[in-house]
Amino acid sequence: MATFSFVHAADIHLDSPFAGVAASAPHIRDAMIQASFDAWRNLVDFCIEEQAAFLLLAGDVFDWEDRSIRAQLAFRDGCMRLAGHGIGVYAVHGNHDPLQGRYAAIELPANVKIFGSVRVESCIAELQGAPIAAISGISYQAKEEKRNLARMFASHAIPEGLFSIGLVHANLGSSTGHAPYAPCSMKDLSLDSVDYWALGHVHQKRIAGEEPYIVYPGNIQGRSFTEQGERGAYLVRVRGGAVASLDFRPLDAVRFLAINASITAHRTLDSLLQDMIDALYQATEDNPTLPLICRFILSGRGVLFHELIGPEAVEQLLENMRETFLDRDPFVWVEKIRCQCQPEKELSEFMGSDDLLARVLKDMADMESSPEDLLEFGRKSLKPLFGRRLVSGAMGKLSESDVLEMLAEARNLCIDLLGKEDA
Amino acid sequence: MIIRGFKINGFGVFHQTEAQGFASGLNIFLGENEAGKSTLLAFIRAVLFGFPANRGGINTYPPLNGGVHGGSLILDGEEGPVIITRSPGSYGGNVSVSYPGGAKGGRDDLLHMLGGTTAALYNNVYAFSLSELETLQSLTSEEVASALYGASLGAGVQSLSNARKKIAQKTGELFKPSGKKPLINQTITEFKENAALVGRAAKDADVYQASVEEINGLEEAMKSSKAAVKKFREDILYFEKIINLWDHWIAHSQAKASLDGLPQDAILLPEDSRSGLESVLEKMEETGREIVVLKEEAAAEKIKAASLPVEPGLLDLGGVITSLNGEYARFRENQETLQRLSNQLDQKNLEVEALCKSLGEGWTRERLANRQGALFSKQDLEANDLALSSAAEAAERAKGRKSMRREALEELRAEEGRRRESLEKVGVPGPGWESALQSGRDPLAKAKAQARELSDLTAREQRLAQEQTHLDQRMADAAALAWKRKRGAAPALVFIVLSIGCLALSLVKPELHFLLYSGGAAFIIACLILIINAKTNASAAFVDNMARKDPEFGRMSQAAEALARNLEATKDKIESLAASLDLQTPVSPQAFSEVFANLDNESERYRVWSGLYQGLMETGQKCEAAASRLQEADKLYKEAEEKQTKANAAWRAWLEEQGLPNSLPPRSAREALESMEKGAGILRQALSLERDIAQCSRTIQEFEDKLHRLTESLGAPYPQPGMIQAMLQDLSGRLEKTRRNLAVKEEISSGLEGLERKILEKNLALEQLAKKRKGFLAQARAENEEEFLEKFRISGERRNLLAKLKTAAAAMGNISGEKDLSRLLSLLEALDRDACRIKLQEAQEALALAEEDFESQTKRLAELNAGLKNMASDQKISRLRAKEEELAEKMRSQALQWGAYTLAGAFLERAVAVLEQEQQPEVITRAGAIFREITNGRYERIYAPLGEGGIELIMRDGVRKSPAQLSRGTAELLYLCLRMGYIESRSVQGANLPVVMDDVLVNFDAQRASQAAKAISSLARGRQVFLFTCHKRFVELFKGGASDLQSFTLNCGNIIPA
Repeated sequence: MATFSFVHAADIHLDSPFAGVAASAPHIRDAMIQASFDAWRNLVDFCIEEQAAFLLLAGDVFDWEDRSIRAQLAFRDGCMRLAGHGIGVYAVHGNHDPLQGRYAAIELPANVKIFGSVRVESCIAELQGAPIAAISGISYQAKEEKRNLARMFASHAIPEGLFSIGLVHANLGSSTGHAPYAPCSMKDLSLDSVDYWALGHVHQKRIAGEEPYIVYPGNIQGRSFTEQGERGAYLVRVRGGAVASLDFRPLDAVRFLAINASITAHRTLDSLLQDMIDALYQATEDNPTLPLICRFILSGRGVLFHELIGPEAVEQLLENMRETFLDRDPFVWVEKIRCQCQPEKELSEFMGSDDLLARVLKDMADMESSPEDLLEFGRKSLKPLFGRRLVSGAMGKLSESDVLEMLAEARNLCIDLLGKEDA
Repeated sequence: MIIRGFKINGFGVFHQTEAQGFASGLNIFLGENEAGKSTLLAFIRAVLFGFPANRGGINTYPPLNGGVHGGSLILDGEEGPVIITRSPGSYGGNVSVSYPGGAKGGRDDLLHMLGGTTAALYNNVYAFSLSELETLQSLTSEEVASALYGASLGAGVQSLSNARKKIAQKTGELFKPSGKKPLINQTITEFKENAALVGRAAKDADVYQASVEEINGLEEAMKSSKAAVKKFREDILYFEKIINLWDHWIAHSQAKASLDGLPQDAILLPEDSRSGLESVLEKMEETGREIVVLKEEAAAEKIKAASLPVEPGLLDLGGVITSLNGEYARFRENQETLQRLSNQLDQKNLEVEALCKSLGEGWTRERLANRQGALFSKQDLEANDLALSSAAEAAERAKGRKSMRREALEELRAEEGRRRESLEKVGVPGPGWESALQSGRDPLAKAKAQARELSDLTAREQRLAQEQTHLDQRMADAAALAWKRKRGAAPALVFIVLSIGCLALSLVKPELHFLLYSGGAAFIIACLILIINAKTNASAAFVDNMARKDPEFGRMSQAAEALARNLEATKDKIESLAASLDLQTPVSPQAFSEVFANLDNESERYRVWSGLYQGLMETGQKCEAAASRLQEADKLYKEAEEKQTKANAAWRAWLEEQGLPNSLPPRSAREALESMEKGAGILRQALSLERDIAQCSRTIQEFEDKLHRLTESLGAPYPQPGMIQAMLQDLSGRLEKTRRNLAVKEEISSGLEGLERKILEKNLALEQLAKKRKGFLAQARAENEEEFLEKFRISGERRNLLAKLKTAAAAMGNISGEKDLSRLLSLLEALDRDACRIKLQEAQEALALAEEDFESQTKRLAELNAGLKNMASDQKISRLRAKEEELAEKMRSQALQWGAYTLAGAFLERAVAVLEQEQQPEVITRAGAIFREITNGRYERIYAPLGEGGIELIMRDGVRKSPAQLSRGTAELLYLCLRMGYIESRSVQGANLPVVMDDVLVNFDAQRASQAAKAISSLARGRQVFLFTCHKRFVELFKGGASDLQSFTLNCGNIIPA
């Protein structure tokens, strides 16, 4: 059996915008738009640098069903570069770029194999003319893929005698936070005929099993603050027909970081600002070569609560932070400061009296203990805005977590408005 | 607080008006309009809370009938009446509070009595007129409204209004269901617009696909166009070649024919052979001419060398001659210097001799030269001079100081005498004055304090006596009144009735008329006895009994006893103090003034005496100090004289040491030293001149020696002193000429050698050229030059023809690309030149058309490719999608903010609704109860919506009404109840100020007036109430309801008990 290596990546999401991020500076907007392309270029460079035999792409190569031309051409150009180094590309499509999408047909070079969606297909990967691996895969036909694609591998005749790879975009164990498409279980993946399951769909890297290997490499570029930290792909080395090693390589072009700052120890905004600046300097030292998009979460109890509850103080902090890191190259963009801090006085102390504020807070606490009532109360109170189709379309239907978030903010507002002299 | 009386100095119509005996409960003042009701209301307000500021529209009630603005309120105090007086002054007027026993207080005491009640609150709630009752305005100022409606609900409620406003403002700024300007509405609009742009941009994929297909079609068409262009270009090339070949083919044919006409055995000579031969012949002729010229030049040089003369003997002495010429100027200069130095030396010698003479006998050139230590001598001289002058100056200064101090001492002694005389004039000091002066006390302070205290006590005694008299009078009046009531008129009336009854009965019962007459007479007698008894004074037992039973009388009695005790204690103190001041009691005012005058005189005498005494003591101390300083100055003067003597002795010793007369002063000694130094300097200069003269003499001798040796070598005589320079210049000229001629000869000799070498070289070249000529002739097989030239001409013609043939063939080969010339020649022979030209033109036209097609296809292809390239790099849709995400995030952020405020508002309103049900202010609850009672339950309760600073009324049937919806009378009743509610509520907390109402019942109908009177009577049970009215009927209303009631009549500025 040959010794070779391959790269396993997924969820490239070419031409994906960043979600939930706004940037006013043009160069940062450009970098955000360009980030998925830069990460793809880093992936191609990585394959060439490591002299990989082939590249596996486990779905969601493109971000949209209709695949932008720019994204397709960037993909084609990357594949052509890989072809120039004799590196094959094996890809399946996922819920973001199903085969039935309406998109311009741009011809891909001969080193690219796109698996169909009707049934599991297999092909043989070669290295210098010699077969090294059997790769089997299946794509999504439509966005909402309800089939258990992994289970379809069991009834497919996978070529024997070679290192065998299953390539599929699937939701293993119905991971929360991801659309429940192509669901499958560990049992579905327990096939003797597959040595390595190259999965995509879940954006957080994870090795779910080792016999056979079941691997999610995560996406190669974080797209929002829910996708913080390093993002990249696995370099898999195969020796004697078995996986010898798995090495993760970060490939992201822009990195998301959420930084917590407690207000508890601070008596003045200047002191808090200095603490935040120090934390951000530390973050830049930890990530010296990458542009960073940062969000600060202010938490804890302290005397600064009443100052921070108003937007002016937070805006001022934000401006100061941005100004401090204005000239940093690569850039640091402080996208937002979220204030989740609380007054110095404990909530129970506010609720201890029998005044108006105490009654409001007790009512809120009672409601909070009954999520269904809270959700109903929230939907009723907030219907004028959240009942609008466009708003629910853009933000999603009003959820319990949304109402809880608003309730927490409403609680702080009431404390600020009614209990300032006591705080 | 209970007001027992007024003393109005001047306030509106009132002037020097007094009123006393106000009830603790209700006091009704009946008076017509303009009788002074509102003035009394204002007076009470002014005394308690100050005169209102004199601004436009506000009546400050200035005294219209004279007197000082203001007056007093007499209050009940624990130990007697407390009087609050307000008089004109800043900050609402001056306040004084007088307590029983004479103690005084001010503004702070008054504020303490008011228990924190502010002027606004009192003026609006406690003391109000009809006009103020009629309007809600007096209850809506922030301070009053807060007191009435919100006091008991805690801080949270006070912020409620602001919280509501803030929430409404923020939610309105963020979102309105039908608005355009709120932030979320704007974001929604922007989001919609962006979504439309995204939809349009997504169609770029179709454009891309169509472009790709068109490109594929174009590329096929362009292949065809390209092939056609290629073919036409080849045709054109072919025919252009044929046409271009044609002229070369003709030239080739003609050259070939001419070559065939030349002799076949002609030798083909090199092209340069003719020019080569001609060149050789020309060079042979030139070389022959050059040899002749060189020989002539050599002969001329030899003649020139022979004509140049030289003197070899001078060459050996060249160095000496040159040296002497160079040194001659120095030689002359040294001769002159020697003469000048000799003259200077003579002069110096003369100066030294003169100096020795000036220093005196014994001073010679040698002694002067050998003298040493000039520098140190001068330093010693300067030191001695300084010591002499310092000692002299010190002695002079000490002498002056001694004299000055003696004068100062004398002056001080005179001053001491003068002060002693002045002190004696003041007189003998009082007892203890000297000790008082040392301790800094006032020896008369105690006497003064005792006198002041005695004065104060005497005044107090008088005041207490007056108060006692006044109180006794009040008690006597009260006792008399009670006596009359109990023992006088009332029982008499009973007996009169009984006697009348007896008389009436006697008419009905004649049989009992005697008995009845007797009874009637007895009753009449008893009645008469009682009437007489009423005119007598009350007995002591009656008074004691009354003091026990009547609390008011009892209080007066107790006050009178306390006053008597106070008076007695004051008298004791007066006795004691008068004794200590040697005065007889009672102390008359005249005695007081004498005591104070004596004390003042003695104080003034003590002040003068103490000043003079202190001055005398100080002068004595100064005299002692001055005498001590004079002794010190005398001692210093003696020390200075001694130092001066020592300095003079040292100077004389030094002069002797220097060999100078010991009587010389420092200045003469300094001059003698300077002369010595000058002589030594001249001697040093003379020695230097002698050294220079010797050096000059040596240099002159050396030059003359060299000149001697030269003349001897040349065999010439030594020149006269004036001829040395001429001789040296002549020798130099001759030496130079000899050297120049020798150099020219050497140069000519080397030139002759070169000429001979050149002649030899030319002869050899001539021989070489002859050999070359023979070679050329042999090559052409010619005997001479003419034959050579003919053969060379034939050779040239043949060469030209061959070249033409070759050129034509090469051109045809190049144009056609054909290597086989014979094949090409045969082809050309078969073609027609004109036919080829026609075909060329046709091909060119076809090519232009094909190229035009290809160009347009290329252009379109470039356009399409550029379009595709643009699409590939176009970030439009990426940007739009990014913006879509940004807007969604923005909308989310704004919506969550809106939601937070909306939820905060919703929860707030829920809590408010509950709290409003449960927790009404105490004031409102009490006012509601009073209002319900007055309206016989028609209005169930008063209700204060939380945090709004207002009220609503809930009727029996549940209907809610705002005060604005009530009739005027009901509204006034409501406002009266609110005030009463507050007053009752406050009195529970301790503050219990008098309530003053000015004609507040006027607008009530009979029923409501009766109910209001009931409520006011009820209010008066717990506190003092002053009610002013102009309607007698209202007075009647109260008479049945109030237990503790006093009524008064107001008339023309007078207050008269009714």
